[in-house]
Amino acid sequence: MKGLQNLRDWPAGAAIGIGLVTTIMVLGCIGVTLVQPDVIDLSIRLQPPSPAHWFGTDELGRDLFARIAAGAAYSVWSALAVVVSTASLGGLIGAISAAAPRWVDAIIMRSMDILLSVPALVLAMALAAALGPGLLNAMVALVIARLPAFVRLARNQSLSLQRQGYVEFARLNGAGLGYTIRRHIAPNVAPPILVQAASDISGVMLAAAALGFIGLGAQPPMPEWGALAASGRLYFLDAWWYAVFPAAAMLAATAGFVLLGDAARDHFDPRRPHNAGARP
Amino acid sequence: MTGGLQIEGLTVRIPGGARPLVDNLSLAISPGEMFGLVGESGSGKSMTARSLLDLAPPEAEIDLRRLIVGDLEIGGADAAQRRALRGRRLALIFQDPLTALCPTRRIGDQVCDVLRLHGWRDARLRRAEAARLMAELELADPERILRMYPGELSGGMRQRALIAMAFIGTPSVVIADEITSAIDASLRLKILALLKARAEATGAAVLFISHDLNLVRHVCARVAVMREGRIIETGATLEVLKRPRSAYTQLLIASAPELHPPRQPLLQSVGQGS
Amino acid sequence: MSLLSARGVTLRYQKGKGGRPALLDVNIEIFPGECLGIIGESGSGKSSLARVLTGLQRPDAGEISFDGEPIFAGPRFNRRSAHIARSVQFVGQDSSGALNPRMRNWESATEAVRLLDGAADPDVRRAQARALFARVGLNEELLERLPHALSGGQRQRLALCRALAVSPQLIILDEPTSALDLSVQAGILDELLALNLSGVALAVISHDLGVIRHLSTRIVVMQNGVIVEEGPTEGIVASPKHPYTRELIEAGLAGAPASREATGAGS
Repeated sequence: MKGLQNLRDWPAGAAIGIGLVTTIMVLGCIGVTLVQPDVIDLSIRLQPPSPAHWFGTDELGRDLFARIAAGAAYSVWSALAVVVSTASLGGLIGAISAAAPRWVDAIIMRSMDILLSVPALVLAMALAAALGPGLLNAMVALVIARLPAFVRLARNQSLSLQRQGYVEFARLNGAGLGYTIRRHIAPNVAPPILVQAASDISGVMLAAAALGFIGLGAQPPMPEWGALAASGRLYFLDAWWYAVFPAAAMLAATAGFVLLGDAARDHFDPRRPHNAGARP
Repeated sequence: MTGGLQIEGLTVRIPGGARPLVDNLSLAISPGEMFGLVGESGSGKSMTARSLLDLAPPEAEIDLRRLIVGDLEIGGADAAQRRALRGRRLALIFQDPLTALCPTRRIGDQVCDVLRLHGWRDARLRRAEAARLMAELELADPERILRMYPGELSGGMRQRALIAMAFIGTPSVVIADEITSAIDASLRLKILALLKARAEATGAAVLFISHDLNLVRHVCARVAVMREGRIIETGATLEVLKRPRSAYTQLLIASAPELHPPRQPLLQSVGQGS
Repeated sequence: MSLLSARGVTLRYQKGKGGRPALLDVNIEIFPGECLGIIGESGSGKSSLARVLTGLQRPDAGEISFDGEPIFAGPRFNRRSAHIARSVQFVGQDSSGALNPRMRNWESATEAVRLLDGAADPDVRRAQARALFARVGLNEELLERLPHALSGGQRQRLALCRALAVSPQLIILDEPTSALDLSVQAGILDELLALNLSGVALAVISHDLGVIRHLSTRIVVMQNGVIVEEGPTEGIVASPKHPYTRELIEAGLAGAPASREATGAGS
């Protein structure tokens, strides 16, 4: 991977971000395959962290490390899936809206305004309630609720690009909508969207956790981080580790994705020397 | 020489930069003289002006052997002393008059502010003086212009108002940095003629900084050509134009379409592309 | 017969009453092989005229045609016909937005070829770009680079390349050198002159009388959206009729050598 060759040029934050995200991804893989997050042993309920149980145990004696590792798969991958679909769908709709005739633009943007008039989390709650509880439905609700921000970003970026000399040049020479979006708009709109998406992952994880907390998202016994933190909250005074470790995992993942977003922004800046260099 | 402007050994360096932005620059301008400093972008001509007024970026290291402004000599690189010169003995006229004026206050109030700083106590006298200054720069109906906001004036009128403000308090030195590049071509020479007239009337030395050799030719008797922080050629303007010594000056002269017959290649004579 | 002709062109940016039109009943003709200079100051409407003539902006009234074919034929999308696109190209003022920052220079240079001729083979286009680069004096090492690696003068040469790729009969240039240093501008002016002498008609729009006088065979003077004077360059420079033109020439060209015999200093 070319990005790894240039790792040394990257600011330290990028390395930390990559480190955190990689750790959590690996954790997720371990969680899915190696550990057993659902083994109940009531004799060791609410044990503090120890060499045997690194993060302690929960109220049913399940190993918290195993549950957080398993939860990484649900939390991170579902957040990623939500953000990727939101960003690509939002980017596409935004680019179309900017390039299409005025009435199409008006219809798209007014519907986005309607969605925006309700706070994203409230909208997601309403949608999740309508679709029924469950992780997948919560994800769909989150995609719809977070779409307007991306559509707006993509549209505004595309609109300012439309006035650039190279887009006008292509238009003068008979370039169609598809060509213009593919060759000129998308490559230049994608980086800001990517940065926005990367910093949005943390928000999505939190929103998914919130939905899980009020019973509209992941359902127990699914070890999703938000649900874990929520149940840990009940035992906070007796078993601090139960709420703290899922929260810490969320914090680490959030920080990792934010740092990664910054690195992505730097990396996609065409003014960076490695991008200006000759590369066939 | 007494009066005027004398710079000796000005060096401006940005830490980590490959070469100094201004490299051991020395020049002298007599009172009432308008001296042209010509160069392209990156030549260091604007940095020269900025460092004299202590407006250079904070990380810049400024080294100055000697600076004489009017009858005042400042030794060494004393930034505070340079700052004290600003607006009293040494005035600056900016490139873009719109950003140099406060957009929400009337021209008259802004002119009167400067007058008050220079000791005009009586408000009515201030107003009359402001009107007189406007009239001096051939602004028709000065009373009406004083009541207008910067945005209501044309670029040329704003630049005239700034020239008038620069000469309040009879500074010994006026630095004009690309003052006509934001102004329509048909007005440029007229505004420069006004600037020159004010300089001659008040005895101020004018450092006229420009990229436009053709413009300098019209208003400056002497000129210095700057490149990469250094003055590479200096002398009487006509002499420099007729017999440029350095290859770079030759290139600059060859590049000015006004100095050449139309529809003939410009750079052939110096055998240099860009 | 003229290449490009505009009849009664009027353009208003602010609709309704009160807004001063950017262009008011402008008639202009551009003939094969000539270099037409359009001069005016900021707000004179010259850039609007450039946009209307190239087909970037649809006027509110008036007709623009090339070879007798109207430029704005389609009803909604302002798409020019392939014939017109091949014949009339546009070079704007150099700014960071003139070239796609993520497109290799050879691709930018040959984009019109790809769009108009459907030539997709990268090797063919690279070869074309190499020839174009040589023609405008660009180093072929720059072919695979991104625009960021170029200086202002090189970017403008690349923009020229891009316009030349389809061998147009007319190139419209809006302030082609106003963002450049004098010595860099001189190189571009030489390039444009050579291009015009090789038979490509140019319409150069500029606020700089020095540039206009240097390049054009014919001058159009614009003020407040209206053409106030037009005629052969020598005639206008020697005896301007409109007071505004007179002012411009007195201010910008005092003492400029008029012909080859009176060669100026330094050359």
